[in-house]
Amino acid sequence: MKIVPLLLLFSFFNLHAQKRIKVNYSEYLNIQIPVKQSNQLYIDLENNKTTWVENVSTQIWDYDKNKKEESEPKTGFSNSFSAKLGRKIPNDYVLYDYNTNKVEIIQDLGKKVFSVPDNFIEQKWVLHKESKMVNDIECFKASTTFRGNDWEVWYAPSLPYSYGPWKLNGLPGLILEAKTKDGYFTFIAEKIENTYSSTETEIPRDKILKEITFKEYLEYQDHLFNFLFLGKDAPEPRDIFTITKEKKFEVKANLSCLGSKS
Amino acid sequence: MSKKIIIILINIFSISLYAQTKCIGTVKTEYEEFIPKASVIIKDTGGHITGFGFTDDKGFFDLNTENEGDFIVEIHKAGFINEQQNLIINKNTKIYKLDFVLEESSELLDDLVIDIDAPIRKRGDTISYDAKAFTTGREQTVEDLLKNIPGIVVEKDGKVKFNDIEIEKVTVENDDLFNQGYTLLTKNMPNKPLNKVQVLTNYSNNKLLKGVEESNKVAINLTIDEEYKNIWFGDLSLGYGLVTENKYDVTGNLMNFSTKYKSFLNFSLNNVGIDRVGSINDMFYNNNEIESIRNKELSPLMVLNGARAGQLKDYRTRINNAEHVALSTITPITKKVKIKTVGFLGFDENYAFNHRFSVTSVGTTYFENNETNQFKSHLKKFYINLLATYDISKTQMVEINSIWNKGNTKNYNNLTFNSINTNELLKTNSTFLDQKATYTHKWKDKNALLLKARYFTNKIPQFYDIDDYLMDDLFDFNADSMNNDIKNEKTFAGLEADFKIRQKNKDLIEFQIGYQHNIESINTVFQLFNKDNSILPNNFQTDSSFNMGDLYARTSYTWKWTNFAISGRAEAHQLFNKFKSLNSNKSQNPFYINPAVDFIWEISPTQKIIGGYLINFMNVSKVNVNDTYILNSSRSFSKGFGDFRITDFQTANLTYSIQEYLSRYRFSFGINYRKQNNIISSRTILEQNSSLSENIIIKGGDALSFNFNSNFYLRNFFKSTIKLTAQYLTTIYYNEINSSELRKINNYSQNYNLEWSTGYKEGFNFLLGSELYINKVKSPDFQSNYNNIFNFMEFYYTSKGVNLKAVSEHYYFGNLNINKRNHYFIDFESSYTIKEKYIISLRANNILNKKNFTTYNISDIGYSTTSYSLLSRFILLSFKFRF
Repeated sequence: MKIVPLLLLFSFFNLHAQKRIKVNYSEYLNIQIPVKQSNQLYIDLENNKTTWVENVSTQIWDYDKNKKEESEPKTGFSNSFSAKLGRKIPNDYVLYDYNTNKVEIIQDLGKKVFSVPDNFIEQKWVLHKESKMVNDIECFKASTTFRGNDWEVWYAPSLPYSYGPWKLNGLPGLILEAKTKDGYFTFIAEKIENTYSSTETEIPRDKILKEITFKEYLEYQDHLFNFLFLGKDAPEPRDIFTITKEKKFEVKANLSCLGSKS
Repeated sequence: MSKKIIIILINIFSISLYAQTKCIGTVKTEYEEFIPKASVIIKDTGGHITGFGFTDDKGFFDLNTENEGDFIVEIHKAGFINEQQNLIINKNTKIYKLDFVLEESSELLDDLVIDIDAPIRKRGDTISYDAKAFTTGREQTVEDLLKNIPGIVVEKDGKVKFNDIEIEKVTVENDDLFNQGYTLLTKNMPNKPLNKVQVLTNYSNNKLLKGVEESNKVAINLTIDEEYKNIWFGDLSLGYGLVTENKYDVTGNLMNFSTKYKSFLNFSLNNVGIDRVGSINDMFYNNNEIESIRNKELSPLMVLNGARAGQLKDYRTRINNAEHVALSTITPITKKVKIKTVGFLGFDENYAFNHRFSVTSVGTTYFENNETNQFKSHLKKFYINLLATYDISKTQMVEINSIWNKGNTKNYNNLTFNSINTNELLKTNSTFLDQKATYTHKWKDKNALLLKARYFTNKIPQFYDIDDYLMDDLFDFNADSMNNDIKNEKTFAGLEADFKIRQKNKDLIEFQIGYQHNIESINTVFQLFNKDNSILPNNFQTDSSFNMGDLYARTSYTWKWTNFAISGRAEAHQLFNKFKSLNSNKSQNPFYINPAVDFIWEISPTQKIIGGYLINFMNVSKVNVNDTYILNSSRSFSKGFGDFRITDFQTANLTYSIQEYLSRYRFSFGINYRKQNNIISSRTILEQNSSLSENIIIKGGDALSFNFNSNFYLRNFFKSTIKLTAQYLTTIYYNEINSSELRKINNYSQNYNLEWSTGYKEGFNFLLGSELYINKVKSPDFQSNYNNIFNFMEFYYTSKGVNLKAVSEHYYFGNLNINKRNHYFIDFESSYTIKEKYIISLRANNILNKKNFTTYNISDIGYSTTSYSLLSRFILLSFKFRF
């Protein structure tokens, strides 16, 4: 039986094996054109950092919560209209370092990739009495006002990670659902994986043109947004995409930052 | 000035009103290490979260709260088990200090798919099916519901398979009531109280081994609706034949599922062909109650021909008179000790009437036989099982399991063989007494040690008697009758230590060392009689004992990468064999090593390739060792080698499978190559009236086989479900008959099944199905093939408590005479439910009153047609009461 202690020697263990979590969120946008896109939140538990990745290559989607089946893309847009918009990098990023409280946005604004330092703003959450089961996970409701939008979220204390989609964080549990009161933005977690490979969170830093201030960034976004969607003379959505080339700039399909400007 | 005063006043007032209370404390591990970034939640008595915070780097938290009353403070941190403490806040105390010590948890966050509003959800290894979403309103029992669930197949005997893997057990709220006798539960428990059906993949029978062992086992867990928890409920159904006389079906269930205490009682008596017990032999013998040493129980040496037509639905051919009562209770004695008691008592009378015409054609041997059986069996079964589980701590557990079962069967057969009429009697008794104890110790979350001990005794004495003699000139004696008195016994004892150690990089080392000892014996007295005399033919008497000791060590190592795992295994056996008979006294101590290698490559979450190669040496079993002829049935004998032999073969296999993550479709293709060096086959002297078969070792005879399987489950196709399964299988085997060369026999079988059913909650529904079987046998002497087709149609109508069901079936046997090729059946059922409590139903079975059913079969030595008697037409009126 000398084998036993020998075998025991083999047993080196790491108890806190949970180091990385990947959450897939579907995002439903409802600004004139209903859009569904898929985003990922990569949580690096060891370093207390998150990487939010928006896959901008998206479809135009008619999202109706009451319908079980997702309907076919509405309108006559091409599914891959983002290809027409012209991008240098496929994804946009929001990076949070909760140890140093640093936030960085990396966004492709029409073939120009900018790095934008953002302020770390602690979100003041109001806790509500409502709870619900998402699958068999108990979720509680909370709300906050952040960057001009009223957010209602559902978080799960049984998943004790105080992170969430986009820039939402600070609750005692992972945020599984989030939406703005006006119904423009909805994030719904669809899949949680207990690991991911580091290549998934590699940032194409070599593609970044320059760093701009948050103010510059907002102004640029404002300009785009107002012109394309809110301006009285704004053309119909269908036309926007046909004339983008002439206007020398393209719109990116992810509108979440636009709508939630501070 | 006045404004300032007011502000100050308001401030003072508000401070006194909302004087903030602080809750502070620390969160540490068992080893006094601080836990930073743990979430601290304050909940009120209603379970609502009223406040929260996080611990800092020193594990310290500081929460403000404004309310008074009773609260619960909960700490959540990944990698630890949640901890909570009560907090009572009153006016007088302003600071409350609560310190927490969290215990580490081995549970990793499961991968989970959140499928909002979907009836199927997957979380980690668990797939949950919403029971209500898969209910059409026509289901009565759990089994009926399981049949509706994609990926689950319920076999004819009630055994449940998920993706072609037979499940280990069906638990209710995670408690196991009947183990491998789960059909007692699935065939009887009403489906109405179910909330979810959960398929647990990578299941471990031993809860401490979850996450340690590599398991491809599957179990099913049923969850119960809140309203059915902690109450006694059940049903009672009484049915009696209307026109047909003395037909009855009575069944009742009584159950209670509370968090700790669980109980299920079921009884039934019927003579209308219903099997409410299912295949529960696995529960009687080698059950998986606890992780223990596996060893084969005895099987009877003799059987009589009481066959029923397997192609038909079970209830058409089961001519029975069955009674049973089954009870299982799970009771916690203390917080750490749980006792489970299972009892079963069953009686069954079965009747089979068949006529068989067979043509045997092998080489120059050709003969035809006509055989009529009027078979009757009386069966009694008794089983009791006690299981005690003692959770010494969260990492240690002792389980002790005792089984005692007794059975007694009397078979009577009026056999007419080529117009000689005889009466046969076969009495079989069996006793089985099994004791198992297993100690499990888990340490550092990923390692386990199991110490297993098992002892059992098994006896199957049989007595056979026939009042005539059918075997022509096999014996040089003018016999009028014969009998055979058999003693068949086994005693087993085994000890095993089992280590499972998982490396930091997820690689798994397993190591087992053990000793098993078998003492078996066969004693037969075979006698022929006539008016004046009796003889005991030489070479047909047995008095043998077999001692088999096996000292073994097994080890395996599994290397695991993200989506690829390869494992190497080796088993070393030192055997101590002793065989003593009337003619010989031999002992052998062979040693062998069985190596094997397996790999699994998960190309994607839905696709995988599994492959393996093994070399297998094996000790033959006692019937293959015995050196005299033993009577197996009315006219056949078999004999072993006369000493122990080691057989060996090598196999290599490769399977590719693709399946949707919720099992709505599945497709697999497998190839298996077997190289046979020394394997058991048989050499048979086949005559019209008798057969003498003896074991031989054959060398070579390599075999290549293929199988193909596909399953499609399309839901929501015009509110309906389409299931398509296809199977293709080829096998090869070898034998020798009447001094022939080694004969190679090829079997090919194809089987296609298409089902289309609608799923409307109300109104008209249907289920249409068709099964096609194509079989081919190729032997050196001849080649034969047949095509059988089964079509069935079921129509339902549901409205306001009224349920109507009409079943029609068509069976087609391609090789029978034209006038016997087609068989039709029609059944009808109706029921009316009043206030969800009372159900009145009327069942008309076999409306066309079909009395016989003829099938066609082929084998490597010829073909046969058999006519079976069926359960004749009856009408049953039942009344069911749910409480």
